[in-house]
Formats: sequence, C-alpha cells, structure tokens
Amino acid sequence: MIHLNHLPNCSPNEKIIHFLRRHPITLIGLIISYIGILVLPLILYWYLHTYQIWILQDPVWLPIIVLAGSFLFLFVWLFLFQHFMDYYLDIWVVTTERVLNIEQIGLFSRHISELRLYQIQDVTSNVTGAIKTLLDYGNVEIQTAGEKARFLFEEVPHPSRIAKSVIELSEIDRKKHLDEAVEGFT
Amino acid sequence: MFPLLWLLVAWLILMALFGILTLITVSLNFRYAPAGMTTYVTTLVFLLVVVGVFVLTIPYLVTVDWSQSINLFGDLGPRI
Repeated sequence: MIHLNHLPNCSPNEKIIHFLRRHPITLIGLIISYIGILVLPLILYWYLHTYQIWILQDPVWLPIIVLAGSFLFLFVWLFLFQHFMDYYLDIWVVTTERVLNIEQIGLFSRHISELRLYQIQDVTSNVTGAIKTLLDYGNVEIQTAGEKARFLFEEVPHPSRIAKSVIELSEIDRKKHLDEAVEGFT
Repeated sequence: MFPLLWLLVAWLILMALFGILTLITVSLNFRYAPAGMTTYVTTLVFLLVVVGVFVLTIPYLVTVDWSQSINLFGDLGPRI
C-alpha cells in the first residue's frame, strides 16, 4: 500500500498539501449502469415467477438459471469493483516540493510521473458544463517549460482553488530553487 | 441433447477464472491503494458479497441431479 507519510523519494521537510481524485459524481453513471445489469436477473426472476412459474419448478431449467444468474452477478460485481479501483487508484498528490501523478490503467498498466514545483510555468483550471459548474469540478492543467509533457488533473473538485494553490506553491518553491530553475529553462 | 453436468463443468471453469481475476484484483488493490480504512472496507465489502453469492448458490447446486440431460429446444415451452 502507499503510505502518504512515506511517498517515494520524499524529502524530510516535504508536506502533502493536496491529495486529489476525480470527483465521486463521475462514478454515478457507471454505478447506475452496473446496478441496472445487476437488477436484470431479479426482473427476470419476477417475470418467470409471475408468468412462467413452471421453469422455476423444473429440475433441469432451475439449475441452469442458478448457474447463469450467479455467473452474471459475480462477473458484473467484479467488473464494478475493478472500475471502482480504476477511480480509486488514480491519484494526484501536490506536496510542498512536487506534483505526483499516479494513474492506474486497467489491471496491468500503471503510470507514475513526477514534476518539481519550480518547473511549473502555467496552471489552468477548466470547468465546462452545467453539472460541473454546479458541483464545482473540472480539469487542472499544469504546463512546464520546454517540451516536457503537461500534467492534467482530471475532473477534480474545486479546480480553480487547486490551480491557485499550485501557482502559489510553485512560486514559493521557485524562490527556493531559483538557480536550478534558471538552469532548467536555459 | 447434452448432459446437465457439462454446464456445471463450464460454470466451475468460469468460477476458477473468476477466482484468479479476483485474486489479481484484490492483490493489486492492496499493493497500490493508499493505506486507510476505505481500502480495507471496500475490499471487505467486495469479498463479502462474493462469499455471500457462493454461500447461497453452492448448497442448492449440491442437491441437483447432474445426470439429467437437457434438450434446449424440446424442453422449452409451458408444462401442463
């Protein structure tokens, strides 16, 4: 497990400022669709019980229904848990010295990238759409110098507040690492 | 016509696959998730539901006569 007190390559005075995941509302559509699939066997059972009761009393068909029902339920439940994990294991951590992007893609792919705060050149928050505006969640884009890849916090809560905080932290860190930053830009 | 037992064997193979996938999923969750109550609680809920389904299913499956055969087309239709 990841212990937040012991992040990889952590320096002694480093403190976690933000620990971010996508807004939980982004899971709602997925959960509703999975619950729909899980409820289907119950609807089928109700239908059979009401209109085709002989199937539920048949010594051949009932075992088939039980096998198929348990198979469907277990695999849908497993896929739902895996999707939850995909949400749960995607993490962005902002500390007093760096930004960590930890991303789980499926079961067997995991990306961890790191960005020093003094390297940050531009931070943009982006909230588009009625629901995102009402619930105050959106993207935060962090741009670094040169051709280095940008960082994207996807659908995180309070993006403008996060963006402002990252800018402030990067300015503080840049003052500390002024010489290194100048070296990096040239 | 084919024996009902074939379906049980197919189900057992699929459940073995399910077991392997569950093992991988849970081990990845414990390896990469942040340490905390949420990780333990969600994994426990997931596993409890899985155990619950097996606890409900297996006692019934034990009572079934698997030597019967099934005729997919002939067995369909209301019994009078």
